[in-house]
Amino acid sequence: MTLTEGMPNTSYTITDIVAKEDGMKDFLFSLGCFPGEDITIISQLASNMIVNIKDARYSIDSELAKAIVV
Amino acid sequence: MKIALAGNPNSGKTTLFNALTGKIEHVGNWPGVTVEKKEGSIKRSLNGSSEKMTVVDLPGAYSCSPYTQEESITKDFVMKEQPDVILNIVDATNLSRSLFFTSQLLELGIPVVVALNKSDLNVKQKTVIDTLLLSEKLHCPVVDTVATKGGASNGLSQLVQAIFGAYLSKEKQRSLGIRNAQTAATKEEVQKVDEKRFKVIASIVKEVERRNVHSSSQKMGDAIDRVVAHKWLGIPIFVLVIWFVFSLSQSWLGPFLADFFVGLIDGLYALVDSAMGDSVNPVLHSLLLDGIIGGVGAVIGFLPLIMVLFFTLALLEDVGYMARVAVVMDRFFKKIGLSGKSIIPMIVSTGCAIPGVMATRTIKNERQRRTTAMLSPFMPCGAKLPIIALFSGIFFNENSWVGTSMYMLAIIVVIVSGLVIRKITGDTSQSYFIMELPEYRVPSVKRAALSMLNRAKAFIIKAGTIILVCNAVVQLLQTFNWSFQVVGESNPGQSILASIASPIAFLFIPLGFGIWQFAAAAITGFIAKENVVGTLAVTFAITNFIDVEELALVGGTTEVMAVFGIGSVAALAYLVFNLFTPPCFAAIGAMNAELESKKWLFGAIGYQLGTGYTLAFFVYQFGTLFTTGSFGTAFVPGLIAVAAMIGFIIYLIKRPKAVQSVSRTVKVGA
Amino acid sequence: MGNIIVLGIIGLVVGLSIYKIVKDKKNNVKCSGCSACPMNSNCNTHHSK
Repeated sequence: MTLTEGMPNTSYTITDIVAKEDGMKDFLFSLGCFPGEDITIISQLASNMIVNIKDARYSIDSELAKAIVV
Repeated sequence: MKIALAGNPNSGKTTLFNALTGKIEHVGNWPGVTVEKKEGSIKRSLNGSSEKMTVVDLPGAYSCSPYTQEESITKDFVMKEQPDVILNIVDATNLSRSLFFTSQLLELGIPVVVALNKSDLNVKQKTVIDTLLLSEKLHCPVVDTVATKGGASNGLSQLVQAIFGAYLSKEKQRSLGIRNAQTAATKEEVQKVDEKRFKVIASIVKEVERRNVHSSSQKMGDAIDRVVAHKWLGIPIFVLVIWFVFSLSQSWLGPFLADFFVGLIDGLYALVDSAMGDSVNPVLHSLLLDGIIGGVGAVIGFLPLIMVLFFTLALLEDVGYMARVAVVMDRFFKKIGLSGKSIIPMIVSTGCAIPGVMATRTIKNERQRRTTAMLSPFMPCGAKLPIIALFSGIFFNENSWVGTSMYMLAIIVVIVSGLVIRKITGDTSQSYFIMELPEYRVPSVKRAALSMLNRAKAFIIKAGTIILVCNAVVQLLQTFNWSFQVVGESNPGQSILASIASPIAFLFIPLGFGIWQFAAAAITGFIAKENVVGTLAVTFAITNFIDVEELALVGGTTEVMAVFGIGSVAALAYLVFNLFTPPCFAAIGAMNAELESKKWLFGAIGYQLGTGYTLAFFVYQFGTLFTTGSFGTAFVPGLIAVAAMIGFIIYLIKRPKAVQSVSRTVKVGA
Repeated sequence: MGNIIVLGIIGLVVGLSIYKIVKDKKNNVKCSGCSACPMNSNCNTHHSK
């Protein structure tokens, strides 16, 4: 499933990144967001989602959340 | 000796840079504030040697593989300029990500010194890092620092010593041995190496770090986020915050301080007046008194209001609230083909449009970047604040809703314009939005005060240079006619200034302020927006805009209104016109640099002119309709002009778009 | 006499202002354009792109 279907307060292991935009995959990689790593949904705010990757909080939009397969 | 300062965004690089060099660069508690490299020398008190130590602050980067332009600046600098030492700032609260960049820096062969910054936050969260072990693992010195703290315990002197040691040893930096120089040529190989990199780092982190609170668990900050970035509550909270900021600066604290300050200026005015006596030539007399002292004084009088505003804005930024505003706004910006990333330049523009426009460099998509650079100057910058304060003070009884609504109107204009530009270019590309949310922190009064003083200094310098010269010129132009004879006070309409401004004032008749003084002020406003206030002061011969009681002992401010000769509706229209016309020349120059296209530049200026005119027209005409029951003067000619502009925009939207790349360079204004 | 003093003062003040503007221009202090520019006091870092 994609991250959009995930539940808040839950940890998932990333299985794939299917970003359309050039370079986004590499960028996510440098944040430590790539297959095999953990991602935790902290909360859902409007169209954005707050996630925890490694030890930092990020706000990502639903488009990007769709690109993260867990 | 050259030291490069490198690290993740929001790791505290600029704060550390300021602490090391004693400079006051702009610091915000959100990623992406620094967009250009900055240089400075390490303070004497920290540098014990005779060697000059130059520090270069680079924009934040997460890795050496460039994703945005700002990150490639870092890469280019480190690769090409060959610094003697790389000072890598590592966010101690996020070792596992930060060390990824560190591991890449270690491979460059240049001595690396790691500053483990924000170590005070770790103490709070009961996270312990074994610095010695980390230093051993990374083969480089690691120093605990708290860049936000003053005094001896912030680790800065140890840091400078470590840098000096690394420089003297002349040893080639050892890498972690993750990658050999020759392998990893293709993308897949790089990927493999980088995955290994994270594995190695994870194992290091596991050994050196002991956490008591896991980072993925819910924290206090997350609960606050759920409220301030809430789907429906987010916007009203933002409005309230802005209202509070304007109230404080324009209704409560600001005027209180300004009263005292204006008293000083009045004192100077009276002193010079009495010193000159009656013997001085009247032209010289009024040039010095009304032109220079009066004009500059009128602008400087707003200094306390501006300082209060910048102080509160700096506090808000420091707390970490502004990053949440970007999250709230992302939803609306998404609808117009921009993302929350565009909001950072816009919020920076509330200080000044120049760094705001420069901050658009962090946006990767070309149309989004250009659109943002074109729309950021709509935000009311610090120089526009005296205009807002003047008009809300005189015509609206210092109501802070005027400032707040100008702020909100700016956001609405930006959103509508973004939509228009997207339709004109026909570019429907969307971007992902990802932004790091910094942890909330208690704002530092000292930092906010420094930022405020820095801006106040700049304001005074500007008032004493460009504003002063402009006011002197304006005073001379309105004193003489074209045959260089002094025009009488009863006959100012004969002056050079009036004859230049009158044709333009003619165009403003449908906007309610077709008076040459207002036209002249709008023109000088392009040189610097503060000039609007200064020119009004000089041309109407009013020197004190804040302490208006002297002008109107009875009936509040009606007398100033009588001098101006316009009503409050026209005043609001004039305010709107000045806020939404093109910014000052310096900001236009910045737009020129970032837009990288003359067509876009002229399109942007044309669009801004059209927006200012159209908005002022609607404010005046409909405002007059609501207050008096009929439209204002010259409704029909104005309507024709506005309809022509809107029609041109619609034509540009409807026009068939042949090729994407062609339509991108289309003129977008009327 | 008073005229000369006043003219002198005006000349001095305007002259100093223009001197500062020209000096800033020479030092490439671009940001003196907008008073609120946070980079104002140390614009020595403005490199062309």
